Formats: sequence, C-alpha cells, structure tokens
Amino acid sequence: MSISRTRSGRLPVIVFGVLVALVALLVAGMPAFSEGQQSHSQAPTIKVADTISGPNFIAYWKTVWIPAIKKKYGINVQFTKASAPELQLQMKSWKQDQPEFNLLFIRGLDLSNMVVAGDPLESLYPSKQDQIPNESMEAKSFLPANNGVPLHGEGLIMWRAQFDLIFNSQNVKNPPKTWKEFYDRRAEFKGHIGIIRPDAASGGGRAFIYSFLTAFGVDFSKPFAEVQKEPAWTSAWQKFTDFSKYFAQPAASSAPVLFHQFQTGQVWVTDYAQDYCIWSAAQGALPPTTKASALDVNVVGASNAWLVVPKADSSAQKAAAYKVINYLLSNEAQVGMLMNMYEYPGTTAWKQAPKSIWEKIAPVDVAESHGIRITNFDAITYIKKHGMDYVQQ
Amino acid sequence: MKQQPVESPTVTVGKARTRLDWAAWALALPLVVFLAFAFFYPLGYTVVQSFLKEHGAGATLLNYSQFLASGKGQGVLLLTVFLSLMATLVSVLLSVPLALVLRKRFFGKSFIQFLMLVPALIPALVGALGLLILYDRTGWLNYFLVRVVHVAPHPLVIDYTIPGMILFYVWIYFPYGALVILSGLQSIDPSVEEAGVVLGASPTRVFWSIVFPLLRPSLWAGSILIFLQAFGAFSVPLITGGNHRPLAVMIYTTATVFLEWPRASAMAVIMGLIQAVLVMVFRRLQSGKEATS
Repeated sequence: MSISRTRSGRLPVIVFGVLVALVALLVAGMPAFSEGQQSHSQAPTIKVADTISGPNFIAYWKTVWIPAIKKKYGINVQFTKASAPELQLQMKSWKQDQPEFNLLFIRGLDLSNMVVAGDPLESLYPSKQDQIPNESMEAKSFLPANNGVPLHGEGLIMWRAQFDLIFNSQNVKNPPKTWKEFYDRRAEFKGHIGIIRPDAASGGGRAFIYSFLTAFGVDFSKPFAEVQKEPAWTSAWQKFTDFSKYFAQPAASSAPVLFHQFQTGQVWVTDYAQDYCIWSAAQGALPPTTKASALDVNVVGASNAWLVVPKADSSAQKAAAYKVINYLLSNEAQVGMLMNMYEYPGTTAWKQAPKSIWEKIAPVDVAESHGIRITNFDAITYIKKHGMDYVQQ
Repeated sequence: MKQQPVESPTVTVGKARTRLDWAAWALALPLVVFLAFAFFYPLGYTVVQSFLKEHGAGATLLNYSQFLASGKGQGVLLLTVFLSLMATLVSVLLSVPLALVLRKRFFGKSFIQFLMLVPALIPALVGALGLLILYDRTGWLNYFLVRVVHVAPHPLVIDYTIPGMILFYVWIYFPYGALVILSGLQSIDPSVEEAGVVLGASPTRVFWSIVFPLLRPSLWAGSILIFLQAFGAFSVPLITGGNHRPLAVMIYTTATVFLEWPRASAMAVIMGLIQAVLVMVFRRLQSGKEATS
C-alpha cells in the first residue's frame, strides 16, 4: 500500500515553484532584455546620473533638455536622479565600456570628492575642445579648481549658483546690505532668521556659515590648520553662536522645511540659493513677496552644477556624451536656463540674455563682484561636521 | 504469476517524504539564490564595512566603541527606543477599542476601515510634510483650537517636538498594528464571549477574562510590527523631528553627508541587532504568555 500526497496538496507547491522560477528568470533575463533593446535601437542612448537637480531642474531636464537633445542629435537621454555617495561606491565596480551611467551631472562638492578619491574621470578641458566646441565659452575662472581641489579639467561647469539674502519683503522692508548690518540688526529679526542645518544634504547652511565667517574676518584662502589658529576663527564662531540665538527654531533639515517656515511666517530672512528661491516663489512654494538681494559677501558656486564623463565609457558613449554636453553649453540651453530658471549660466551666454531678466536678479558681473568661492574643502568639512555644535538650540 | 514484493507503508511514506524534501528545495532554490544576492550579500557587505577603518587599511572595533560609548550615540539610541515604544503603546491603545467597534456591523464601517489604511497608502515623506503643515502653529489644528473653539489661548507647539513626533509616528504606523489586531479580534469565536455573558459576567469582565487573553497573540504581533517600523523610521523624523534625530537619520547623515561609510555601517548593524534582539524578546514573551494562558 502506498501513501501519496493528494493532487490538491501537490498543486500549491507546484504553482509556487513555477512562480518563483518565473521571477528568477525575469530577474536574470532583465540585463539581456535591455541590451537587446539597445542593440535593436538605432539611436544612441546616454544615461545621465544627476545628483544636484532639485524638483525644478528635474522637471526642466524632462520637459526641455531631453527633448531638445533628441531633436538636435537624435540621442536618447535616460535621466536618473542619483545620490553622489552611492554613485561613488558604484563607480568602483564599473567595468570598462560598461558603466552604469555615461554622463554625470553633479554638484561641485561631489566633483571635488570624486577627484580627491581618485575616481576615474575623463579630462574634458581643454583636451576635448574639438568634440565639445562650446566649452570655449565656459567661464574659465571656475575650471581649474573647486572647493580648493584642482580638477585637472575633469569637469565642465553647467551653471553657477548664486547665494543671496532671501527675504519676505512683506516683513523685511529694508533688507541688510552687509553681514555686519545683518548681525547688528539681529534683534529686529529675532526668531525669524532661517538656516538649513549644516549637516543636511543641502549645502545651503554650510554656505551661510562660510559667508558669515568670511564676513567676520576668517581668511579661508589659507590652509585650514592655519585658519583654525587665527583669532578671527574663534571670534567669528562666537559671533555666529550669538547670532544663532536669533534663528528660527529648529534649523530646517532641508529646503522644503525652510520654505514651509517661510510660508508660515516663522522665517522672514535667510541666505540661500537665489535661483531655487525665486523659482519656488514663482511656483507658489514661497510667499509671492519673496525677493533676493546681495550682501557684501555672497557665496558663488556652493551648488554649481558640473558635467563629468566617466573614463569607463566606451568610445561611442563618450562621443555621444560630448554631444550632449555641447548642447547643454550652447547659448540656446544656457540662456533658456537663465530666463526660465533664474540660474546663472556656466558660460558667458548671460551677456546675450534679454535685459528684462536683470530686473528680477542681479546681473552676473554685479553678483560676482560680491561673490566669494568656497575654496577651502577642509573648512567645509569642518562646518559640515561641527556646525550644529555652534547653533544655540 | 509471480507476485511483486510489497513495500511496507513506512518505507513508502519515507520515500515520498524524501522526494518531497528534494522537490521543495529545488523549487525554493531560485528564491534562496535571489535572497542571497539581494539581501544577504548587501547585509554581509555592510557588516564587513562596519569593521573597516575610516582612513587606511585594516580592521577596527572603533566604529562600534566610539558610537556606543559616546553621549551622543547613547542619546540617539535612547531617543529611538523611546519614540518606538511610545508609538507602539499609543497605537495599541487606540487599536483595541477601534477593533472592538469595527467588529460590529454599522453604517460607514467600510469607510472607517478604509480610513484606517490611508496612512499606510500615502508615502511616508508626503505624509510627513502634510502633518508638518497640519500641526504647525498656523496650521489647521491650531486655527481650530485657537480661533474656532477658543480652547487654547496660544497655538500648541507640536511640530519638531517629541510629543509631536510620537503623534506623527502613530499616524503613520498605526495601520500596521491595527489590521493585525482587528484580524485577531475577528477570529475569536463569538460564542466564547456569549458563554461568559450567559454565566453572568459583565462586559468588562468578559473582555479582560476572555477576549483579552485570546487577543494577546495578535497584540504582540501588532506591537512587533509597529515597533519595528517606528524603530527604522526615517522620512518622518527627518522632516518633522527638528533637532530630535533618531538612529536612521543619524545613519543617513553619517553615510551621505559626512561620507563616513564604516561608521554608518556600524550604526546600521547596531540598529539591526537591537531590532533582532527585541523581536526575539517579544516572541519569547509572547510564547511564554501563550503557554501560561
């Protein structure tokens, strides 16, 4: 006599097994499937990893730049919002001719981190002048180094972010013109000065502090070890700690939280990215009475965007990536970005922009005359790790 | 005609069981392979990372010792456990009466059950931003309390506070436990309660003496679910926590802002171990209570 499982008892096991096998085959077959798609497609595809764009530029990529690149060059752009630390980890495993991304669109600090880490990046300037003719229009002063880190031409600047005093003109009728005036008038703004945490992913708070310390005498052009020994370092931080007693509490963990604080009237004034704020006000994320004005010290380039090509790209991928870069550095793309997104171009195309734009934001040369670059990488690292220790909570 | 030897029933069952074991393993193999690469490998990588030095080659225990020995690290652990425990307690206290009500039939029952699920359907980040706006000093709640019913002279400060975070945790993680508890309650045979009533027990006595012991396994299961979710909370405390930053936020900051992967990995391992230990303790308590009841 044999005892066997009933058919109904065996059936669920078989069904489960078939399902698991199908899932496994699907997962294993996905790379082959996508490679097949690519090989059958006539148009080249460039995969872009973006670590800098906020929601404004993510939408702009999808609605303006990607269609324009497709129309002009027939290149498909696959856009992915990425995280720089994870991207750096992934890059270690990329094989030659098989990178996960062909073009990196990253913030300056990310580029500095990659160069310091020795990540393999293609040198673009000036060696690729033939393939990227528009790189001749780049604002040359930005290219040699970023955050004090020599770049060896491994990045081309796409936009120059400008930090300004951002204020709600409904509450702040007469904005301060200098950091000293801002500090002296702190009681007037008590509980209404906004700042993003310096240990946040956004660099806004770090740029705020860097500008403040510079305005109160810290000379970041020196090596950081020397900077820390100077009396100005201690006194400027003491002033900042005192200033922080007048901040809106708590310090915002991110830009949306800062904008929410503006919307509710908790924050009246801050120092943050001009383009993001003016665009956000136009979208309704900030009060419509939000304006920007220059202080005596403004950070230029805290959130500059850079175009970078991994060395792991194949020759064909590099050729396509250079075309994409060439479009992005064209007058069409750069002036469009200025007019629609209030972002200063990485090239000299701003000189050809309609004059109407300068009624909303300061001309580039005026803004840059008040501008400082973040050149001290070690100082920014210190501010990142210890900045909150100086904020009175 | 030669007769075939007859196998004994025991041998037949044994062979069938062996065939079934092999078949089960063969069918499970793709899943095991998938889990090995998608789960165990990344987990192992994190554990290995946690023993690496921040700078230079070699292994170290400093990532663990510095975190566990520091006041900041201990504070973060305490905050995380406290928030999770409070969120669990409040969620369970709300779930049981709600489940008792939802056992009955009434008009609008399905709608209320749907409302229970809404927090689980909305992405945590979206929910966190919404809660921030709702409970802000100028938000709808304070507008109602101060301007409409005039019960509060000043706006309540809820955002960026620990009570506020507990409230937000409960809002977001409550459905996970409530569904389990409701399911457990619905599976209790009503005739058991009826028997208690027939024998003269009051509704309160029936609940504590009959329903509650039978509901205990579901309560434990629901509590574990809520606790684990709350312990690993990230979006909610990042947006609404202000200066109160529990472990997941600290891991995120350490990894992606400070770029200190070994330290962040050590914190992640500590987080995982705590969760694993607490789950084992919960289950030990659960099985112990079930045995005595």
